[in-house]
Amino acid sequence: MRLRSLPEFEYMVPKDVNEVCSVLQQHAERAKVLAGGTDLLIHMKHRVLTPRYLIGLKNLSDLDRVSYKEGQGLRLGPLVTHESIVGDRVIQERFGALWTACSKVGTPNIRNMGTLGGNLCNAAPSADTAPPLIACQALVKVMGLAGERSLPLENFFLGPGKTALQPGEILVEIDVPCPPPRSGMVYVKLPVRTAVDMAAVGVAVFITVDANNDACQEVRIALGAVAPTPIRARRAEEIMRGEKITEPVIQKAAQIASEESCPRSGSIRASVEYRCSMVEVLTKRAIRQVLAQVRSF
Amino acid sequence: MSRKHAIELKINGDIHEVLVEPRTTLLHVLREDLALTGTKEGCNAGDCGACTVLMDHKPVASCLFLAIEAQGKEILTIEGLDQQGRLHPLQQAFIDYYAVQCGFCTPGMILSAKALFDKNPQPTEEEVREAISGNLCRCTGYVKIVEAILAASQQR
Repeated sequence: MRLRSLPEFEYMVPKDVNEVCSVLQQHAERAKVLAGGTDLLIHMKHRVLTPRYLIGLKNLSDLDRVSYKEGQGLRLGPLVTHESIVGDRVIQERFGALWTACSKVGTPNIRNMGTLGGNLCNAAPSADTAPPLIACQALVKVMGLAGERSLPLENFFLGPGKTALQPGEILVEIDVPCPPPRSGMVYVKLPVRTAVDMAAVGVAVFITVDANNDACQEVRIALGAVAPTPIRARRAEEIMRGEKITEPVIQKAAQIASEESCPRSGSIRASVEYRCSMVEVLTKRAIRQVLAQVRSF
Repeated sequence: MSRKHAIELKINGDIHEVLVEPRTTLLHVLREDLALTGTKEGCNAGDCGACTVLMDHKPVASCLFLAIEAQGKEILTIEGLDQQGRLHPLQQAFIDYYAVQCGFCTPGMILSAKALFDKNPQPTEEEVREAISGNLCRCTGYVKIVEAILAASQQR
């Protein structure tokens, strides 16, 4: 289909979150929020989405903030762009998996426009920011007319393109707890091309080691693009938790992670077999990279 | 037709008042209303970089930017780069190093390179390649483009 103009719509710029929620509640299916627009406008050009109302969020400057407090963790506004996250020293040093993910989204142009909130709320199974945030046990805060509620990011994704947002609700904050001492994290993305592309497989690993630096006190493995939503590889984690992290343990965990994947068949990007195989390869790679990180502290 | 909005855009240092529908993209306004045709329409989906402009010094895809949301920003297009007819070192380097074939990707390439120089005046080759990773070229194979950008960075 020819991809030229956008369909017609009315444009509003509410002055605060409450007004956004009111408008969303009032117009329901016929309204969409506009953050960076890098996914929404493409869907509209293809006529996959044709909202009657676009709700511009540029007055909500409170939602475009990053703050970090020692002991409390990271607070991210949903309107923070990927490039802002890449430019943040604290995130680069303490939340490196998220930093890596944002640095690999799309292109430099897209990173200057696209937002963290947009990446999460579009809920693509391959969303780069999801596995690292899930591995870090991120919480999301959602606001509606009835008030605010929090839920683990892991429970935010319900299916491809589907989130736990109710009508009239928007994402207002993403909270990431401080990693405990002796922790490391990594995000590994396998795109089909060297740049611009989505993840064919995404693996995020978070490990806390014990005082001897060889046993796994805590581990979280999150996988992207290999299931209808980003998922935790919980059985793989069980292999590692409390154990000395030896080569056999790493091999076994990676193999189980691969078995926990259930990628979609018929994808033009990669076959089921290739994706499952790459989950095993990348999980091993990621675990080893995290170990190198914690051992270098 | 949707109600039109009168908006003010600051482009290459000049203020322009235009009448747009909400659905009008910045790319469309630049090319059709302001005759600034240096910025190109390639994929129309934000992937190819032909529509790159600098917005508050940062490269963005103008094909995915609503004109109505571009108010209050400083926009730089390729036409804004030369100083009273004197070419910017990047533009001169692209000529000197034969980095232009059909020329379609060139405005986007140069603006992405300029944005890089604004943050990092002495980039490595890897940093240059990363900076233009969202600008696709079907003609050159990128080698001369990278050489031109590195050469321009040496001149400053």
